[in-house]
Amino acid sequence: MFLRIAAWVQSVAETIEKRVLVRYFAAAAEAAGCQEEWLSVRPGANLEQILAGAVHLHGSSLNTVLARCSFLVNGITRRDLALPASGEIDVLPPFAGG
Amino acid sequence: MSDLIGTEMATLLSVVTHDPIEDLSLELLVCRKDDGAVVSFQGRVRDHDLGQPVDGLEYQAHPRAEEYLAECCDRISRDMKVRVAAAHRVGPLTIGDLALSVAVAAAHRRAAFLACEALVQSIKDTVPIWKRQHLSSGLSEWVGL
Repeated sequence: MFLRIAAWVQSVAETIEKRVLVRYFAAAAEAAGCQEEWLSVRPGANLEQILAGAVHLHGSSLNTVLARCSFLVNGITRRDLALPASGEIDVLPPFAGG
Repeated sequence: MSDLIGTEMATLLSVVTHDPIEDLSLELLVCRKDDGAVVSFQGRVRDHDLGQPVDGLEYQAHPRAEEYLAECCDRISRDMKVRVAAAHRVGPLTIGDLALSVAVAAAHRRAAFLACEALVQSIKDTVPIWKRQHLSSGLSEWVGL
């Protein structure tokens, strides 16, 4: 009985949208028109899908910048955009220090 | 400094700051009595880029940029067995301002030159800092995009 309830709770939880914090820097912030924003995403959404949602909101100029960006997911460099992402996502244009 | 005697490698300072970095004396910081060579590099704001006149720059840094800079310095000092210090300025800078200051000390010249170049390149490649360039034409652009 308990297991069935737990399974039901989990199935309901999986239909509820989750929120991720996307932080934009430098040229990415300029293209997005904001420094950071919360996006609602489907549970299990991968980084590519989350970024596509951001482009949908802000337009193709953001898409052009994103193509040159690297990403952190919860502070860790993320190269594979096909992996699920949640929590905090940093959008980093090419570095130009020095 | 006395507690450093006998250590082969170390990062003496790694900082990302809005304040001017002209007076940090990184060369004195890295140099020990067994060092025969100290090589330093100053990255300054120049008045042109790709043939276009430049009026000034603005650097922006990721909140954790200083951690990345420290990793850079630690890696170079460990791998190349030198002592290093590095400071990167952020915020609005004008022509001639010091943006990046690096110093490397080693027993011999060749190791110090090589490590200095490697450290500057590593900083450019791995530290999340961005540069907005204000051209004399009135346009401004993010460098490297």
